[in-house]
Amino acid sequence: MANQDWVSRLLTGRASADKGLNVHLSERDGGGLHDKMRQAYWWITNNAVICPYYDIEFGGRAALKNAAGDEVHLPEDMSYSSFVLIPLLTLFTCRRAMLVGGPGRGKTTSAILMALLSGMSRDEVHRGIQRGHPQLSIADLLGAPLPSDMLKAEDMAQVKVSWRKWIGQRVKIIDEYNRIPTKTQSALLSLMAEGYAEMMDQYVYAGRSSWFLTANDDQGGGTFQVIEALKDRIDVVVRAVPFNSHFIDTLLQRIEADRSPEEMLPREIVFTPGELEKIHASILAVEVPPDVLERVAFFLGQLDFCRMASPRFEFKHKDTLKLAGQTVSAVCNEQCPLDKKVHLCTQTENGVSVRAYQTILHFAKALAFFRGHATVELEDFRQIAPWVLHEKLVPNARSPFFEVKGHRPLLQDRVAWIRQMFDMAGTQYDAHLPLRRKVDALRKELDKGLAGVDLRTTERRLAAVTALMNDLLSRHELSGPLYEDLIHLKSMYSRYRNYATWLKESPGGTP
Amino acid sequence: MSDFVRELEENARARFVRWHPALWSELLQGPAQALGQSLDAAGVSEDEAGQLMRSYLQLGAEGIGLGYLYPATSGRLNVFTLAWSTLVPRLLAAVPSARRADTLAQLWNLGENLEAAPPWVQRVFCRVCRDLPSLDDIEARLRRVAASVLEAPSTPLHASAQAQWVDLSREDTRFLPGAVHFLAPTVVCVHDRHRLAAAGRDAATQGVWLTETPLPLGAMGCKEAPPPTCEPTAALVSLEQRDARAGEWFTTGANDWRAVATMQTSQWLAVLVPA
Repeated sequence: MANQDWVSRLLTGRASADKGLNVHLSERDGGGLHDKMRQAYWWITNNAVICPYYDIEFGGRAALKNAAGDEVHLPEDMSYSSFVLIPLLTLFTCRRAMLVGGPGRGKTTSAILMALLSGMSRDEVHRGIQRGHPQLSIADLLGAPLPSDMLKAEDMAQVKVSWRKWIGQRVKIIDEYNRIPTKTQSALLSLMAEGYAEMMDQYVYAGRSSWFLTANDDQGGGTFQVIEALKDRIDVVVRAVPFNSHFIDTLLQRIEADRSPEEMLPREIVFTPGELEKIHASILAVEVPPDVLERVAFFLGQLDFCRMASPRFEFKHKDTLKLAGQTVSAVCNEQCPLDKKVHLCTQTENGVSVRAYQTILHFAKALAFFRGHATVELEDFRQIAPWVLHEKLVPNARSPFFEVKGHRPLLQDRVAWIRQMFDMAGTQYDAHLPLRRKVDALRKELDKGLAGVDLRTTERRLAAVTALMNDLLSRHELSGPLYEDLIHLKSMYSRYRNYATWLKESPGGTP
Repeated sequence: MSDFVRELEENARARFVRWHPALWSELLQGPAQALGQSLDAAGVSEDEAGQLMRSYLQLGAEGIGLGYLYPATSGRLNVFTLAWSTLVPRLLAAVPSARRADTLAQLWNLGENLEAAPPWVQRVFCRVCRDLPSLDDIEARLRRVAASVLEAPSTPLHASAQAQWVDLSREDTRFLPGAVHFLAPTVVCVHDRHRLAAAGRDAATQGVWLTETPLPLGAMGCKEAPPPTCEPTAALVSLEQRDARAGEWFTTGANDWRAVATMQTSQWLAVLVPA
């Protein structure tokens, strides 16, 4: 009868007939927002930003190849342009995107469109753009107290700061952020990172907002060095792309019409604050299946590992090297027994921060929601992770991995490089899975809690954890994934050991 | 009516970025006209006919905007296109007056819900709906379809079964049939021998609905990984003896009602159905 219920469900939906025999169509729950998001995307792609580079692809792919080894992939499902899609996802997730690329490629235009989609007027947007230049002071950026207030005040509490209006906007645009002086960057950092700015003991809060920072070139082409902390606060990178000359007629039409795309944005694709909030909440509600999460964790977790970083087991990671002022390239040599062509740890100078983990998860959910899915697929992660990690992962250019034929160009294209690491991790995951399952089984047991567990059971579990650790260490190569498993097991060992010690010292007490 | 149509089109242009003006004209000049004529020929009152036309056009515009309706030149078919282009114009007038609006709503819901179903389910329903003689009591007809797809048939398979051959390369030229397994008593899923699931990507699969004339169902999106087994049943052994095309089985699969087999060097699937 379940089949018959299925038939009933197929015939029930948005359309219904009333007593007057009229057919009514209701709005789709959630689907209305998906549609609007996709309408916004397609409007921008078709009318505003001329971008024929569809580099976020889904579905199986056929490849066209030539004798020289060049390939063109033809995906069998939807494909999207990162230059349009990622700013949209940034708008919906209230995150921070850096648009980087040559001048005149549409970086600022893209950011302006996002601001218009959020409901801001053209005037508000243009007045609110903060343009980086060497003389930009903190007062120019954030605001300043009125001189008359300062003259009259007898203590600090009486001085009122006149904050700049852009601070409270839903979309904040910082144009050419690498031309902002370092001191002013610090003030900006506080606003971006903590969500508030302080001046003369007074505070202004940024509120939930999306940030778009543009830069021509983040490799030193700006006027000032960007402080690391500010770079670290950027969640995702969008690369501007060159113009394809086949669309020159569109440019001509635009000039002749004497109207910019901003002026033609249809009302129907502008989001209300309520819709943006609803989208934000809906994105967070998208599920990530456990098996997909495990694969992503398997990939990200092994990047921090460095076998040569320290003789002490717990410190065999890249942070140890960084604190010592050392690089991975200096220690990743033939003394490390790991195969450099197989293990991912050799390819990067650093690992992935907790912040980056969260950003990847958030953007993957946003991408899945945009595509109209209730759960995230592995391909969503595969497509979005390179853009999130673009400025966060530094390649170890001297790794033997890059000396293999065909791998050197990966140093020039971070997206291709990170994606190939993701794929390598994917093929290694299945081989490692049996070991990880053993660790997971012990973890599940510990997660049930220690209430009521007696000393004998605790010591039996300790023995099981120790046995597995011994098995992993003695019979398997110490690689990034294995290191993660051993650290995890050791943390379990420590918990059990602490509990056993407590039981011995205070028998009969409650943990 | 022309004011209504003009207003509908203007609203649709504003709401749908992917509005297809040529398809809208095609609908107005073709199926909509046919519907009007069939309602007129059936003696439906002008008021009721007007109401039905407005509902039909409103739902049709929504279908075009959402990409449910395919142009005739596209070569693709789904249940929504079949319903709006053929079934409703031809058969709605014959539905009792009190149920016409409901039928229209049900067909819309069926079309929209099937857009989110696996492609093979669409194909099954397309095949069945194509030959519908009437739209009256559509729910009962669809229940019979669901039963024939998902429930066990009444006739078991005997040794003297009838053989059918399905060329799986027509759907996918690279497809080399491998492991098989049944998703339903009469629906088999065939996995490609080499293009297995890897690194989170699905395996290449094709489905076949094992009716008297097997219907290819296209890619199944199957996440299982059945082992290839080769245990020829009596019916398959009998087929091998009487049909020169059969033999050198690579994998076989059978239940009480159907048997299938793939061969070592062939892209064809051998299917046995009750004679």
